[in-house]
Amino acid sequence: MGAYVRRRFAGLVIVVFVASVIVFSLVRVLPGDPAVTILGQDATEEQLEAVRTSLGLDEPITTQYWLWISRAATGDFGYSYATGYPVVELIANRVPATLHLVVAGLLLATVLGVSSGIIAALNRGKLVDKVINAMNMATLGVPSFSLGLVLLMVFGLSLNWLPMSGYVSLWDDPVDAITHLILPAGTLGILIMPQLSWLVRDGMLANLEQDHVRTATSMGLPRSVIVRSNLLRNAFSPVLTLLGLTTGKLLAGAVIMESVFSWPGLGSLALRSVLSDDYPTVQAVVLLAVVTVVVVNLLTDLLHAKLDPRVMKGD
Amino acid sequence: MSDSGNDLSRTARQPFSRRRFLSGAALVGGTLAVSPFMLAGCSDDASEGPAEMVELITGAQLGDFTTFDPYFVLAFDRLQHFQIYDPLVRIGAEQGTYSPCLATAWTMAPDGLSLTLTLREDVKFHSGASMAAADVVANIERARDTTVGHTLSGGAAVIKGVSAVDAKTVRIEYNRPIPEGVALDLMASLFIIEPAAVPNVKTSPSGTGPYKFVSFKPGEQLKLEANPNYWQPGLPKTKTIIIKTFTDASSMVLNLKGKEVDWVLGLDYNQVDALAREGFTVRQETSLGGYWTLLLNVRRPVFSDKRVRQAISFALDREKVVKAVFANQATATSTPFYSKSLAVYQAADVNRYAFNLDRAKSLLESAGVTNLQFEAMWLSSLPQAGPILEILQADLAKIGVKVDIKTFPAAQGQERYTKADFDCFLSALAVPARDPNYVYTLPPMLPTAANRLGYVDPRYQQLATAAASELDSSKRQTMYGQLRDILVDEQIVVPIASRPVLYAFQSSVSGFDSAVGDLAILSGLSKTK
Repeated sequence: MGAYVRRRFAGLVIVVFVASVIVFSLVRVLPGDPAVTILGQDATEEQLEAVRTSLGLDEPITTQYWLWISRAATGDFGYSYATGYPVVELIANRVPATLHLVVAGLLLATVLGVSSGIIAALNRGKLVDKVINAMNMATLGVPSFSLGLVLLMVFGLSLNWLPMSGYVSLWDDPVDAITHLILPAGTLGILIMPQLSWLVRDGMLANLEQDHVRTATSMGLPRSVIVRSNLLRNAFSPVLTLLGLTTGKLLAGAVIMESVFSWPGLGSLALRSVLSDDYPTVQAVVLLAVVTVVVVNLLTDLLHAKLDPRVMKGD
Repeated sequence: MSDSGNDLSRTARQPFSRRRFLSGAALVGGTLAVSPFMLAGCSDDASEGPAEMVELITGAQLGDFTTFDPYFVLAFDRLQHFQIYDPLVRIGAEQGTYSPCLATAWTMAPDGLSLTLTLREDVKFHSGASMAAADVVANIERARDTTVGHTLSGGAAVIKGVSAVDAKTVRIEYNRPIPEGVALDLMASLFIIEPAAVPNVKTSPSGTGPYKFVSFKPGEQLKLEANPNYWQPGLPKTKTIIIKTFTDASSMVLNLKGKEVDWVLGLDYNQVDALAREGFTVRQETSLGGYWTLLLNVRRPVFSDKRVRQAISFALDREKVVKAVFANQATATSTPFYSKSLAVYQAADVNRYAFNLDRAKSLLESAGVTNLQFEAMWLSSLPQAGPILEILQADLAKIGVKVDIKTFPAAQGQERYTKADFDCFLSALAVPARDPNYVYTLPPMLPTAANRLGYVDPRYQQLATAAASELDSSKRQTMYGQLRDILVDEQIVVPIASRPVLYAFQSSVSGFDSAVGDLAILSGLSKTK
């Protein structure tokens, strides 16, 4: 297990380094000039040059990379071109909101997806199975943006049950925080729930035909025990993999949810930074997203290996 | 061009595009002034407000704030400057008159080489320190500093030196004679920052304005609180102002309807009528004098012939654009100057290039142009631009001209523009009611080799340079009239329609005002329970 962990960790470091080079290069290769974004298209060349110099953009690109990565290694990601705030401060202010949103969305998706998958599998071919399948299909077909707006109109505007925008920290006011969280996290959760539901259903159905399940059934074990011990445990492995892979999708989905619900998270920060050519913030946010996805996948793999040691042999 | 500046508050009709606000295309450049209401409020005898202040008013804008440094006045930064800072002089939005603000009086030397400003007594910065002449001098010196790279340095280049005559008097000297309007335009753009706050002004501003900066959470909200030492009696009328920022217009309007915010800035043209029907007050601002325009790159052979440019202008069905794209909320125009502008407006120019495909075709034939083909660029941040170009494309196709429409993200498109790497660019310009010198030397008309459209006309250059130093007002009018005629004739800049700004308010909110350049004034903002 130790060697496996070391190998995976070394891979993580390489991935993050390569990602840093790609991210840094991409934002500079792409068309756009931060000085023009800051001053507007009608600024004179002298004004633009003054801004470029003040931002260090007149240095060779290798020098710029070295300065950035060496400072980043110490946790200093520089200052936002757009706002003048330290990037670390901008990110630190946004992380809690995104964590609230993603974790709540993931929890909701897991609860809804796993339970509906179990119900569908246990009622294979029956009406309830078809209804769950149809709902999953419908959910997948709805653009996340539209779903968010519809829920906003129904539960926020028409019924006036829930707040329509903004973020409140769980630590400041748990009740208010949850009411603010329901719509965005609910929308996010609903969007990734169908895949989980189908995966659990298919995993359970595949195991239903296995000898150990038939044996357990013939021994007269209660259905709940068979589901928990024989079906779910085996079906959970691919679900775990999916949850790991879903991290990236959740972060991407958060960009849209944050826009609809005016949620001050990393997604909206990334969007704004990209649109404003805010190189330091784009680089830091993307790098953070890369590290998050890689770390979550590493943890998923380790958990996978713990549940099924055969995984390590194949690595 | 729209001239409804005296009819700013209404419950429908007038438009604006929230995306034009999103665009960032028009660098407003610190243009300010106020409507008659605020002009009165700016004077010493302003009436006392209600004894009881409103606790909290929450607004919203589409797009985030970028900086609190008032020397950088960009598209998303129109809501904060007049709250935190005051300028030395204010410009009347319609009349083009200048009124006292932090400067109570001024004297322009007869030779146009110096301006003496008398500063208001008892003005305090948010820190509690009194404002003195030395503070104003420090601000003007910063405006002259080209290394800061801000948007005022171009206008301030005419300043030769500045000094404090005494604690309340400032004298500015110029390196050439300039008319009073040119001098005061700059003073009206100059929001006074507390010198001690300059190093951190981007994120922690301090001025003399009606509201003090409390906090800003990027992507979330700006919080301001009333300045208890504000020099205007009875203002501000609200204790706390919160301005939330949204990235989605639909979501923002839903928040207005759900009463989570009291007012919003950044409506789509097609939202106006629906909101008005639902009882919201929709307010149009025309003080910007902005308009949608095609910018034609004269460096490209395709547009080097004036007749080709005029043909494009005649092929542009402005009425159809106004109807189909702006939901009848804008005004079609062929002139970049609106009626109340000081820029020697001429009503006959409005329909000078009325839609006429036959005329367009004959102009192309007379220019000997066949199989004309060009690329038209627009920014995705200005979503109305695409449909406008599609209308032009369809009409030009009828006379054998092929238009290749290309869209770019704002950053990419603006970079192409600054590098003059385009044939035709659909953009949005701001031409506020200011001294004609400002209007006739806007970047697309800039009479120098730095003109990004490649338009360098010796006639225009000579006239614009002479007019900038002409002190005789009647001679200036004549000169600017000639410049106007050149611009309208040359069609380097092809105006399409006006570009008003829209706000929507809950019916309980009142007292909002704005200055030339779309700069909001919230000091009189109030709300009934």
